[in-house]
Amino acid sequence: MGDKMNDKLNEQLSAMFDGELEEHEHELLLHRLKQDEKMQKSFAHYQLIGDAMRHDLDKGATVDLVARVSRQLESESALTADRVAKLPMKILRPVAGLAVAASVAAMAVVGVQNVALQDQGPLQQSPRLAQVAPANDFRQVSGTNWNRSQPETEMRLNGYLVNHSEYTSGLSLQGMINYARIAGYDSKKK
Amino acid sequence: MMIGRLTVKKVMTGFARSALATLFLLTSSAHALENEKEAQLWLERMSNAIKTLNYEGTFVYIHGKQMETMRIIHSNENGVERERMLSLAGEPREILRDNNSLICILPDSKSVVVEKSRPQKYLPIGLQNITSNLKKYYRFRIVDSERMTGRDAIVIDVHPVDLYRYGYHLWLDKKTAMLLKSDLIDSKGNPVEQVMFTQLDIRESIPATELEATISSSGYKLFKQKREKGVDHNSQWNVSRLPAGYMKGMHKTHGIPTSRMPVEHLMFTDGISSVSVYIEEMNKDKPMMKGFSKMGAVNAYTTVISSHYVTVVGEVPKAAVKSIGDHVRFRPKSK
Repeated sequence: MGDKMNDKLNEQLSAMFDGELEEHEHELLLHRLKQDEKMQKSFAHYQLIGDAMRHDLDKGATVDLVARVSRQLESESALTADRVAKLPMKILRPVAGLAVAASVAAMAVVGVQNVALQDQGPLQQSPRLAQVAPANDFRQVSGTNWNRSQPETEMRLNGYLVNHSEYTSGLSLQGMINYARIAGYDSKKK
Repeated sequence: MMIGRLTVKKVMTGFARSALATLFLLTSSAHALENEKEAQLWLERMSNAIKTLNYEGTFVYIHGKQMETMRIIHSNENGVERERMLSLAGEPREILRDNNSLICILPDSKSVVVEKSRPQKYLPIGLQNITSNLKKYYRFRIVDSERMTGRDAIVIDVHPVDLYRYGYHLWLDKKTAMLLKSDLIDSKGNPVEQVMFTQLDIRESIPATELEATISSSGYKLFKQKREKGVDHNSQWNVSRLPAGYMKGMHKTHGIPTSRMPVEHLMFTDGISSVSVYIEEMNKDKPMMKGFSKMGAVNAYTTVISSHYVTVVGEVPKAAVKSIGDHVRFRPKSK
């Protein structure tokens, strides 16, 4: 599948969760989802965000995303417009103050946020978004520590760095620093 | 006879002199060698101390203009390590770590993140075992004795031989070899990042209650994700030439939340410094800036090869990310 196609589907997926997808597109998308494993994973990610925001992740339960999606797809009722429309835009509230730079924790939490953010298009063009997530919050999530300002680039660099740090945190010298970044207070918060 | 004696004496004196000089040279180089060996022993002891001692302390982490303050409690009972960290400024974030997992409690986002520990085999060798490879690319030296964190400390300089890695200044407790302060040094000798204990108690044992979370996480969201597997043996990507001393530590493909598609990941390490290469398909709608980026001690370098973004990132100098980035090669699969 080409990049363009993937992007379109991703956008549709995102739109669906925002309750902005037309009925006929909705059905088409579901059909696609059933056939495409990659798409299922993407879908699972959005689903996780939604679940997380509604606090209905079972405590102690392991989130096996793909299995969940398969189950969801079996009962399409899970995708009723009602459920879709309920997804609150609050998911865009970033994990303020989290030192995105280098943490296992940040990857999971911020990753979720970034997926939500990256599909909303430019922040300033969405009045609804602006209401709940001021522009400066977006910057916090993206991490302003990089000496470059392009948000897409920063976001990806953060993702890479977080991942990289997971593999290097066993190195005794850096271990403490990496964990410090997770637990530490980010002075940019203010 | 007198003349003869004098001559002999003269000859002897000359000989003694040169012998002395030789001896001096020998001893000073022997001394340098002894110093280097001793420094390495200290670092191995330090690496061990951080893991095996029972301690409770407060440290600051200084990075650019930011300073973070944290409390750490660490125990090791019969080889089982447990650790708790708590941020002392801002939101009280808490991290609990043991041999199996890493739990982060983040009140500001009302979430709990659980991660399994990384398999040990992926981790760089580090200082617990100073290999001949490490000795080739870093000079280890005891440079000073100083007071740090209220203790007598020994100061060790870890100096890279080239521009492809950072150096360290380390302050170690003379009694226990515990790390008291660590400065990451750039090629100009300036500290890029610093970690320093402002208070440290080394104890016989740590009561289990002190290692339990103090933040109540009831009602928090739980994020617990399964670890991805899959080393990519048939990769079309490789790095044709690495800076001296770096070796491939890992090669796999995984999902990264900030990238849409699975990303191919290669990691290289010299035992102390490590660099990752991330490769993902180009996406015209979500372009990535080419060139260099920097954050504190971390450098990144992005290029485009065969319609893929190739990004090299690591806590290494710019020269290292550039050299690796410029040698990434794509070899299409032959059919």
